[in-house]
Amino acid sequence: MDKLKVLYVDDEELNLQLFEINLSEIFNVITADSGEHGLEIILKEKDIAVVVSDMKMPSMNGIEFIKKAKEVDPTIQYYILTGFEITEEIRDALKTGLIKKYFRKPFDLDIIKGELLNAIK
Amino acid sequence: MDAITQEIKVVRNRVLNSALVVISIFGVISHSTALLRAIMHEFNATFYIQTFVLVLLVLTTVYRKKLSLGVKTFVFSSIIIIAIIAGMVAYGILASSTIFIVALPVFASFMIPLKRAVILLISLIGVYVLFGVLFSVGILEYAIEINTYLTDSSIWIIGSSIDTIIAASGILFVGHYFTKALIKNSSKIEEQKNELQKHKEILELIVQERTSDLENANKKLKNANEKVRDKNTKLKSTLKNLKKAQIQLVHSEKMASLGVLTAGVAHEINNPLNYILGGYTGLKHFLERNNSLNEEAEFLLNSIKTGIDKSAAIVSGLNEFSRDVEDFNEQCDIHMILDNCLLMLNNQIKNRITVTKGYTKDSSILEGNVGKLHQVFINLLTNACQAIGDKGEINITTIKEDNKFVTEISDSGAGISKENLSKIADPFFTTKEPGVGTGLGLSICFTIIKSHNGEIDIQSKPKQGTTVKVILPLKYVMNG
Repeated sequence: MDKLKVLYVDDEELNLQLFEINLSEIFNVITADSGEHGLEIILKEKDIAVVVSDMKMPSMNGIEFIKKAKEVDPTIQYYILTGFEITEEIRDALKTGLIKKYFRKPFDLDIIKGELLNAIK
Repeated sequence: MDAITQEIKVVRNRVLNSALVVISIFGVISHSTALLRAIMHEFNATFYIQTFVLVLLVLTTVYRKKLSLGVKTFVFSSIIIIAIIAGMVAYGILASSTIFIVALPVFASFMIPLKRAVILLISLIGVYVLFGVLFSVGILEYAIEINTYLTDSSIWIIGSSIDTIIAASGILFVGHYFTKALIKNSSKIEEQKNELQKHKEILELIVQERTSDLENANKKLKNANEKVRDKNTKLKSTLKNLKKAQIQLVHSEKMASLGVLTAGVAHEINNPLNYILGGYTGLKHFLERNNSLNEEAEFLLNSIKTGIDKSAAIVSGLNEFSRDVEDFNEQCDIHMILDNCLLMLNNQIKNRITVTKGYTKDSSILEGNVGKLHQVFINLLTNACQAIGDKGEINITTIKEDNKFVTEISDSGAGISKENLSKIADPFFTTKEPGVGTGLGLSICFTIIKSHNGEIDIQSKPKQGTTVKVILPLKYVMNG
């Protein structure tokens, strides 16, 4: 079976690299450094299964990006990463089902791994 | 005084004028009898002198209104004296004009000062006596035939007319006039007395009015004063409340700033923590895959992980502590909050204070405000740490009683004296050095617990430590 495609969106280069190193064993990790790039990739690669996005990004924040991405591809499972406390925005997103779950930074990659595997089943 | 002197002068003038008139008339009449006598007996020097005197008198009388009082008095007196002397020269003791010796001083005493009238009398008596001596010695002789003279009816007539004049003058002018003047004066005095009485009454009325006005004004002032005092009291209490509100506002602002600061710091730290965690995870997997994960490597990796976990916990705790939410319906895990606080105070605790936790097995979750409860417990635990000198113990126990959650924190510290115990919740009350503590901590704790509808109880004895009991309801109810 082909490895599942996971898109990770974060404006920090280091985070992108670490994510890839740690998860590329199990998943097919694609990274994007902004919401706009993320959208491009979703359009290009039609079979992305999971999207994990950082919350705080310069031009478009995580929720805004996911809202737009959901319009393009609603089948994807979306997750948010945040260094802050849970905000209203995130709470609403959880309520409306926009995102499945949120992870706090610093995130334990093993935990994320577990969650993503679960989600796909 | 002047008016009275004036009045007297006027009266005297009038009297004198009237006297002059009457005496002139009588003088003329009596002189005509003297004329008769002279015709019958002889025209002597006396007669001529008397005539001269009469003329002078008449002239004075005619011009009486133009002459001064002094002049008239002098002329009048002089005329009388001349008449007396002239009479005595001729008729000795029989002179009818000797009556003037009595009449003139008496009359004069109304016009001139008493002393002068007496002097006048003495002078006239002197003259009379002198003449008496002159006659008895023989220097003077009677110019008339005594026997014939004594039985002459004209003498009687002259005598009675002079007596009449004198008496009439006395009665009419001195007696009547002065009485009239006296009466006028007395009636004037009466009048003035009445006026005075009237004024007195009016004055009394005015005084009464003014007094009652004053009393009213006084009453109004008292009322106003009362009102001012009331307002003052109210103002004082308002000021007190304002001060309290100000204190709380300042504290809120401080907490708000602190919240922003810690939130920023926490977030910034989270990022590097993320790198470390990512690196750690990668390294671990890399070594696992290459079977290089020996004990040493494992230990080293664990150290890194521990560091990350602790840092993350502190950051998370800080965030919890400075939450700026005002909701009281958050799920607050008291045990977690206590552990967070202990973590923050680790620096103060390690190697110095032994902490024993007697947590209840029941759920320690209740409804309230997470951030604020953090503030409370961090404050209480800080106080406990600071109360302990070199070494000591802190004991934390929690139990659930009915629908309340009870947390007890006791320390083996210095304790609080009885006087201070009643003041410790007062804002700004502190036993620390100035600048070290604000003295606000406990007062704010009390406020927070009160807003949770809970209670704080503090028991302490100097040198025996302090026990703080925090009772919180499990469910949050708004009022109360």
